[in-house]
Amino acid sequence: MKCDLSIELLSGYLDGELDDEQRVFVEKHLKQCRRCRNAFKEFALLDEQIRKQKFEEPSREFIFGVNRRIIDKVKKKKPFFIFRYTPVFAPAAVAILLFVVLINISKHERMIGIDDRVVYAEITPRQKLELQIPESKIVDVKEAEKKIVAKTETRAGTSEITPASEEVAKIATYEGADELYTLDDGGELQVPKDQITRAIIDSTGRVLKVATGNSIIPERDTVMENRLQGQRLTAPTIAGKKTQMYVDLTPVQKANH
Amino acid sequence: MYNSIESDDTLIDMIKKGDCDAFNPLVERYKMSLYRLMYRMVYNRDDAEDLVEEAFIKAYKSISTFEIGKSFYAWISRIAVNNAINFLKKEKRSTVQPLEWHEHSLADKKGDPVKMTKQKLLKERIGAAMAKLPEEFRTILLLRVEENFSYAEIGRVLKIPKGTVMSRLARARQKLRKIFEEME
Repeated sequence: MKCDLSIELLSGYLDGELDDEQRVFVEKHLKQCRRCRNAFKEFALLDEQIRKQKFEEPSREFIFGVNRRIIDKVKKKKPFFIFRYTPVFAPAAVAILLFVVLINISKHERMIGIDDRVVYAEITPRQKLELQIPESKIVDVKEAEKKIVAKTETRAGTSEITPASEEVAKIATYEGADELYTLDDGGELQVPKDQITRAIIDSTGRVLKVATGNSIIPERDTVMENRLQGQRLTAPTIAGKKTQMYVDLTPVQKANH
Repeated sequence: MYNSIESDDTLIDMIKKGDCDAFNPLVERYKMSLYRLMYRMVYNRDDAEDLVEEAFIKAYKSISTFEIGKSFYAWISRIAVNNAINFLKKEKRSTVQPLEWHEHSLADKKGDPVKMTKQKLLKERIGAAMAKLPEEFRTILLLRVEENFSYAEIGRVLKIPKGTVMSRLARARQKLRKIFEEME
């Protein structure tokens, strides 16, 4: 007799995992096929032996101590409530932190932080300058270009306010730079003649803070600041890009023209 | 304190709420069954004990993913079996030797077969035959025969389709029968 029963069906029948149709088919076959009946009996016997298999008893330490060890370990691993959700919150927290930092960085680019002192970076004037002064109502570009001067102011003596009509040139400095810029305000500024007058102007050319004095780090001068604050100079540029800047406000002698 | 009255689901609910002491009755309830399963897989007492401990700790750490209402033992068995499979792969031990086999060889050498009853010899032979089975066959046979898992449960534990469970089990039985016959 030809045996057409697969080993899978025989095994599945032993495990009670066949559907009704398969089960009926296997039962019918087993009644007719001695070879498959023997194989089925052998499988069943092996299963029984597997269940009766001996195993080495666990150690006393395991029987009596494993509970305590496991509980101690899980108590140690128990995270703080807030950190249970770390996988969810951590990326969000990092994103928020990054956002705040970026916002603050961009704010710092727009605003100049000055308290009572201005850190002054000494620079060497150059003869060749890359000057870009945008055309505006109060600035004559040609006139402004002429006002590029070497920084020659004296830093001693008494303060003297130059007349409003006197032209003013500004030598701009900024930290870490070695470029020199000359700005113009159309002759509206009045600055002390014989002392350092240093201002911070924003990227639009507006005066923000002013410090005066004869030392390397001039003191903040609120009187002068009030006088000059808000006045607009030519917007300073570095390599064509508008920028904030420290500037020295220095009266220019008529002879320089 | 907890006792055996609380159901698995009640205890797991307490654990999920932060009461880690509620894990203790679960460990007590299933540690021996898991040890037996692990021992059958690795045939080494110390390794089996370590695997049981590791399985419980992993289960505790991921208890939030356990669905109340399902079998905790089936769930932790899955964790333990996967641990054991990884362990055997790491140790490169596809086949193992049970303790009984060593005892049997020793008894033979001593020429003391008196204590070896027919039943005992049969048990030792099946242990040795099982140990000679490739790991994937041994695991699936243990899950089905020892643990009485359904094909669907075995499929979930081993991450294989039900049809594969059926064919692999059939091949495992065939292979075991062949090894067993060769040892006669």
